[in-house]
Amino acid sequence: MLRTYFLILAILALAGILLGWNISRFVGAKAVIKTKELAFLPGPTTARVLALGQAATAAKLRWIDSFQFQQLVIDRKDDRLPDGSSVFVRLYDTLIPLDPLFLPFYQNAALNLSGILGRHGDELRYTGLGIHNLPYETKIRRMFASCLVAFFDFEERHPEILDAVLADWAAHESDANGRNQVWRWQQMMGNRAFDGLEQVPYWLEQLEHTTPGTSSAEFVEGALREQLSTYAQRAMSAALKELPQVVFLPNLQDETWQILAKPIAERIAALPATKIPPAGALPIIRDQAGRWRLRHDPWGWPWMRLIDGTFYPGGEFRRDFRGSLSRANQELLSAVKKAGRWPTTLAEVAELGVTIPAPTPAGGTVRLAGQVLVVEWTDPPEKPWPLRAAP
Amino acid sequence: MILVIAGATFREAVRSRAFLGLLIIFAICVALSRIVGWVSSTDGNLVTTNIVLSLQSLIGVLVAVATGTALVQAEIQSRTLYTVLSRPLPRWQFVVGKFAGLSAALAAGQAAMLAIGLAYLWITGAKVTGWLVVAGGLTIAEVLVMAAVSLCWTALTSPLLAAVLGLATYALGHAVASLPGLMHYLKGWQAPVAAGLASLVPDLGHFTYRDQAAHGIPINPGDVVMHLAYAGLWIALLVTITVAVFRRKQL
Repeated sequence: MLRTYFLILAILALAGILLGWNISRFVGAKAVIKTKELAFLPGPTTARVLALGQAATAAKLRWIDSFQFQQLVIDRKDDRLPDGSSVFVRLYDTLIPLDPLFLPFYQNAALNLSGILGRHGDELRYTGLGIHNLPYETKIRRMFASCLVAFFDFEERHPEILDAVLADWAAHESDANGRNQVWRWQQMMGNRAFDGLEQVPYWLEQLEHTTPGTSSAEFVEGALREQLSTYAQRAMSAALKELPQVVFLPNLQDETWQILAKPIAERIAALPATKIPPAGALPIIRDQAGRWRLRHDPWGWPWMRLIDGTFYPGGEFRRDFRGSLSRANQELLSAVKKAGRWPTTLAEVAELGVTIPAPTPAGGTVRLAGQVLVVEWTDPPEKPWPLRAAP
Repeated sequence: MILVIAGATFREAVRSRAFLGLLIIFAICVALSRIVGWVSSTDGNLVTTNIVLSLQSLIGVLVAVATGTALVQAEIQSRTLYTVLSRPLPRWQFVVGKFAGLSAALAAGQAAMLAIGLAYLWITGAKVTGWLVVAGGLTIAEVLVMAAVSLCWTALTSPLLAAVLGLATYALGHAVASLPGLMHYLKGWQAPVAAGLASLVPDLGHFTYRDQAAHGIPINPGDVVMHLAYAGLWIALLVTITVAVFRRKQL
């Protein structure tokens, strides 16, 4: 009897220890540095053979596994192998034949190849393939048409082809509501006539296909904020020319700069109705008393004034800083390989000859998290400009 | 007599702990499949559906190979075979009865897996259509063909080697499904030789409708009948070979 109790106790104790051990890996787990390469990918036919009759499942698992590589490409803006071939092209050429009816493959291909790497021809290729495989899928049609207009200027260069593309899209919509979507899309693309905001509809389209909080979503949001910021910078610079009395100030937190809001509002109000950007894209906003006030930049940080007098968004400055830190991390990795040891403090990082970018922008703190230099920010003084439509 | 043997085999199989254990493992894997759906940057429903249908096939085939290779061997090891064969019972009836019982048990297990999988998909909000049931039905046919393959290999070799050869046949069976698309790379005599060799194994591509079913793509009833007939013919051939070998075997 004693022996049985002892065995049960031993089983429970061992199971408890092992369960705890397993769970401990998840407690306080942090995102791993994403440096996974996809140098090897089988061709479509080999992949099908290797899938052992589970082609669709294998494709999804391979795709999910490639997310880490996508993060790497977002960081370094390059997916080329030493022989010059594109990993993304190989990836989607493998995945799509395994499950040609899975819409996210095409959306993901468009975002990665066109949005992140700027290879818009590849986006056309994959969305074109998507139209072939999913002819009744509105989302693919929208992406294809947006790409033609935003990057290949088909409205001006080949209006007849664009008309044919849109007519084909409308013909594949099953009801009147669907066909109306084609005309609504045309209307939205017509709103692109604002300096610096030409690609905003395209990026909003891309944003719709991302999940909030993912690295792809962060990237698309960044691209949108950059364009909104360019428009705001131009509007502010133009308004400044009308106010020669404004003196140099290091940043625009000061109330003095609210003087810019009125001329910006007046200039925008003077535009033809079709050229007025939507209120959400403007650098000014009405306060509760109905007065125009200057907003912080699209990231919610105060605008900065550079020595040459131009404006610079504080949010983008912080983003650039994060990029510099990413380069410092690469330096750190090389230095560690030479030194044969990992540093434990920032001082030791500097001793290894790694240049930590300085000065850190206000609100940021650089620290060594494990083996990586990271910067942590306080919340910006204003909420970032909302980009997604309210649910 | 065949029905008696089949009934006994079926009861023995479904009452075994291994049978229940595999159903539980399947249920756990199905529950975990949702996690893959969550990390897929989509609503996850389609990814989960694909995985559930694949699990039914993969676990089903593993069970078929494991039980198919052990079917007669277990009788020999426990010496019950001699008791049965000492009666006036032709050996072919014994083999057919055992296979029929095993097939019924595998089909019941597969049906249970399909029911668990579809219920889970429905609970988690994925679209459950009749096409998924058809796909599950074709997977059952795939599993039964693999059980027949394993049984046949056991008659020809040792149980361990038969299990390895059974799994290799499964891989080959899916590989040959892609071969017609590659034939244009072959020249002269290579093409007929490749086609001839590939035709020696069952083309399991007949049973992979699950990928289309997940997208709700319909299948012609005629095609379903054809795929089931294909499975039936292979099972008949493999069981006949097993009977032929078993009749002459020195036990």
